[in-house]
This record gives sequence, structure tokens and C-alpha cells, in this order.
Amino acid sequence: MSSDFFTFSETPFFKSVSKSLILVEVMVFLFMLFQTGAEGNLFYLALLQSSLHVFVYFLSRVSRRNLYVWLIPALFALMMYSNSFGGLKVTFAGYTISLVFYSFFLIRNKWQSFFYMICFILLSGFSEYKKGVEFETILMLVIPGIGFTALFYSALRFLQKAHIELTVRNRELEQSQLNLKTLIENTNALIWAIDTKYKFLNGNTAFSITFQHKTGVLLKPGVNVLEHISSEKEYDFWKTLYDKVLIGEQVVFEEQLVDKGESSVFWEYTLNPMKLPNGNVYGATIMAKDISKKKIFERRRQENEALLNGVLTNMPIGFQLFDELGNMILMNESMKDILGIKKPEAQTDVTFLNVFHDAFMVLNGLDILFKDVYLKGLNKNLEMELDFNVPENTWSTSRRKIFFELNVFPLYDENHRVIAAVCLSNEITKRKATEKLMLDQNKRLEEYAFTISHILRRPIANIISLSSLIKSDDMLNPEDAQLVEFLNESTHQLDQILKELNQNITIKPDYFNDYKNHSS
Amino acid sequence: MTIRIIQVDDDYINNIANERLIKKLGISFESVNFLDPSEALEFLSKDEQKFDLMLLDINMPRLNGWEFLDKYKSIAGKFPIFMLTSSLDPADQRKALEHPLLTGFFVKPLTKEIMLEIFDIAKLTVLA
Repeated sequence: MSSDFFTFSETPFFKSVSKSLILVEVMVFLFMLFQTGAEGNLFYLALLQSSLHVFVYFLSRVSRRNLYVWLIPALFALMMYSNSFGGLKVTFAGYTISLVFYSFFLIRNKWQSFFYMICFILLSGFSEYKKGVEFETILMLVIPGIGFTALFYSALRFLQKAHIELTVRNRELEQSQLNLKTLIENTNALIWAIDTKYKFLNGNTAFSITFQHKTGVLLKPGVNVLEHISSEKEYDFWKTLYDKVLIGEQVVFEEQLVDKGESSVFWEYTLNPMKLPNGNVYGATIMAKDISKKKIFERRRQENEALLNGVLTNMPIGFQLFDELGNMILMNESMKDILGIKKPEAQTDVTFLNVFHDAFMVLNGLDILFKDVYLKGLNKNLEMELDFNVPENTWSTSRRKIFFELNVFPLYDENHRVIAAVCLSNEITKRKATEKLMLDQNKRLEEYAFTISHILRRPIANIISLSSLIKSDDMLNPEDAQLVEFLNESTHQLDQILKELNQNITIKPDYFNDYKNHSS
Repeated sequence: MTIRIIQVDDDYINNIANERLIKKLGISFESVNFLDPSEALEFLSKDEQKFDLMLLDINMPRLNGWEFLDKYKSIAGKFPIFMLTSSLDPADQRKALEHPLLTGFFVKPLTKEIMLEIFDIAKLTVLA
């Protein structure tokens, strides 16, 4: 059996063209195979086609006239289509078309084969077109002899895509470098980096100017930053620091400088090693910041704290601070004096429960008081009596009975959570004693007023009444009548004095009205 | 017309002085005096004798004038009661003015004028 087609395929022209094509495709195949990171349908399509071309070429050489030889690439294509070939995302179009192309060579009836080929092309083309394979690629692949064009086209597309990606990445890198440069240039800090030989790698302009100002050397990459330090002491200092960082340690220190105006300037240096992924140090970065303002602020804060502590310690009011568990975390001298705690024995970690034992707390309602302060955030004010003579209070050196006033209020954090309770205490023993005296005196005065008002006045009323009756009796002689008149008059005078006395010692109900109005 | 008066006061001198004062006014009267307010309460609860007015003292031992009135409330006699006191305490006067059982309040000693005013308030026709 013979045909014109196979006759043609046996011609030297066909064979030489065919060999050239196969050579080109082998090269493209190898090129594609060693491309790492390549992806996309076009790439795989081209890769697959070139491999099939080579594979089928050799098969056709071995058994050119075997009708069933195309079954091998057909099975391969089926595997690929079922997506079981290592998960490769290859479209069906490429290998189907290649398969058909080579079947065309192998089937004797060229017109019949051509018809099948057209059918497969159309079927594959239309079925795969919308799945991402460009129609022009399909067309190029189906034309015998120009398959390699598609390969180059694919490779070109791939390279073009890779170039675009590279350009974009370069641009991003340049932008981030620029951002970094802007960042280190716009900061007030001096920033520089050195390698393991103390040679300058990079740095901001502020550092370059400072370096030039100090050493007279124009700083460039490669300049040894230690070499130009004139002072031996300073050289040793910086060398030690650099060496420490270059073995992988981080160093942070502060330096106080005095400028010409005699005002202190503080610098903070942070030295960090630069490490490779394997942990080897290849250099160091150094950042020097002017922290004078921060230091001034810190100093003022310390002064204010000292002032506040001084006020709390020396104020004549007892001050105690309790944490949320009732532990006393601070107690000032006045409070120690009130409670009779000797200064050498003063313990700041004495808990409230230790000082005032449980029973005492419950007895005086202090447990409830602290719960109210912590849980309800209430301000509490109460007066307490404390007898240091009772055995429970042996912790105190005092042996007397005192009264003190407590003002307990909560301290909040920024989330309005109670973090501590402040207790201000004032000894009011003298005031309470005075109050007691006043109350006692007042009670006696009231009794006196009652005596005048009720008891003393009764006989006087009777004398007035009786003398009035006698006076109105006509039987008296004129002299006696005058005596009765005097008696009556004197008794009235006495009664009047009693009334006035009673008025003076009686507190009027509206006595506190002014205060009430003022407070309301 | 004879006016019937009941006096409840532990001060017998006062009771006698009052009687003498009424007598001097020329008024015909009958007086029943009690030095112990408890006895007066007992008397008033048993006897159905009618009185024209009562003169009641505030400060008495065991049962004072106010306590007497509280107990007397249940007996509920229908005649005017005048409270008399030698006390200078203005609180007593305020309390008396608000008390529903009291017709009047006067500070001792009683004078002719006061006594006539009491009779007048009690709407008793007397011949002065």
C-alpha cells in the first residue's frame, strides 16, 4: 500500500525539513524544561506539544506504517485530560491537535485522515477556546510544520511576561529603597551601618555631615569609621562597642554631652548586629538619637514624683494606699504616728488584714467598706474609735484610745477600673473629746432650762396667783396692802427674769437655718 | 346657773387659788379636783356626770397632761378642756394648738381676765 502523501514524506526535502524541525523542537523542549518557576497554559501547551512531536517522530521512524501506534500518545493525552498527570493544568487542545496531526501522517487514506483532523480541530478548538487557550495558538498548533513557531511564540510570551514582572518588582524595590532612604533622611537621628571591618556601608546625610564635622573626612562607602577617630579614648570606646555588636550582641546606651551653652545634651545609641539567614554577622547598624527633651521630661517627672512623695510623707493627714486585695502598699509617717507604729518597725508590706485583724474589720464594718469602694466605686467617710489597750491591738506602741476619721475613695485606671483604694485618715481624738464635753455641757444646760421652765416657775406662778388674790381682798389695812403690792411686784419681776433667762439659754429652732440654706 | 368644773392638777395650791379666783368673780360653780390624773380618768370613765369645762395641767408625775389626753380620747367626754401650764416652753403651746381635744391653752398664773376669757371661749354664761 502506498500513497502520494507517504511518497512525498519519503522525499529528501520532507525528511530534511522534518529533521530540522525536530531539532529545533528538542532545543525548545530542553529550554522549557529547565525554566524554573514558569507557569501558565501556554507554556505547558508548548512543552507538551514539543515533547509529543519528538516522541511521535521516533515512533513513526520505528513503525511508520502501524495504524495503532497513535494509541500511545492518545492514552497519554487521556491521562492529561483527566487531570491525573501530577496535577498539571494543561488544556486538552494542544495535545489533541498534535495527536490528530500525527495520526494524519500514519493513516494511509490521506483525505479521510484530513477530514478527521479538521473535525478534531474544530471540536477541540470550540470546546477549549473558552477555557483560556487563545484561538490563534490553536490555529498555529494545528498547521503542520509551524508548530515550532508556536513554541517560540509561547516562549516569547513567557519571557515577555517574566520581563514585565521583573520590571514591576524592580520598580517596587526602587520605591521601597526610596521610602527607606526618605525615612532615614527625615529622622532626627544619626543612622549608619558598617561591615565587620568597621567600614562604612551606608548611612544618612545627618551622620555624614556629623562625621565630616568631627573628623574632616568625607564619608564614602568603604571608609573605615574607626580610623579617623583622633582621640585614643574615644577610639577604644567605639571599637569595644563595635566588637560587641559584631559578635551578635545588641547594645543600648546613653551619653551625656555638654555643649557650649553649658546645657546638657543627651544622646541615646542603639547598636544592632546585621545577620545573614545562617546567623553570621556581616555588619552592624547604629542609630543615635537626641533624647534631651525626653530626659528633661523624665527629670521633671522624677522631681514631681519626689515632690508628691514628700507631700504624702510629710502631710499631717494619714495616707494609706491599698491594692484590690486589701494589701496596704503605702503608708505615710502621719498614719504610722496615728496608729502608733514605730518608725523602724514600719513595714510597707503589712497588709490591712494583718494590721486590723478580721474580727476588727467585721466589727467596724471595714470589710463592707472596702467592698463598697472596690466593687461599687463609692467614696466612704466614717469615724472610728480605736482602743490600743485591748489585747488585739498589741501591734501598736500606743496605749490610749483614739478617734480617727477615714476617707476612703477608689483610684481608677484609664479603663475606669478600680486599681487601688486611697485612705486618708485624720486623728480627731481632741475634737471628739471637745464634742463630748460640749454635748455634756449642753445636756446640763437643757436640764437647767427645764428646771427654770417647769419646776422653778410653778411655785412662782402660785405666789403670783396668791398675792393677786390677797391684793384684791379689801380686808387688808393700807400698810399690809402696800406690802402685798410689793410682794406681787417683786414676784412679777422674778418671773420676768426667769422668762428672759429661759429665752437666752434656749436654742431657737431656726438656729441652723443659715447653714442649711448655704449647704443646699 | 351653777358651772361644773373639773380640775386635774397635782398642785393643790393652784387648784385652791383657781377656786378662790372664780369665787371672787362671783360665779356660782362646783369644782371636782384631782391631784392624780389616773384617778380623774377612772372617775370620768365611771361617772356620767357632766362638766362644763376641764382645767388640765401638763407637768404631772406618772401621767402628764398629754398622756392623760391620749387615754381620755377613748372616754370621749363632750366638754371643753383648757390646758394650763407653768412651763415657759413654746413647744408646749405649739403642740396644744394642734391638739384636737383642747379648746385652749394658758400659762399660769390665771388672772381674772384669763378666767373670764376661758368662760367666754367655753360659751358659758356667767355673771361677772
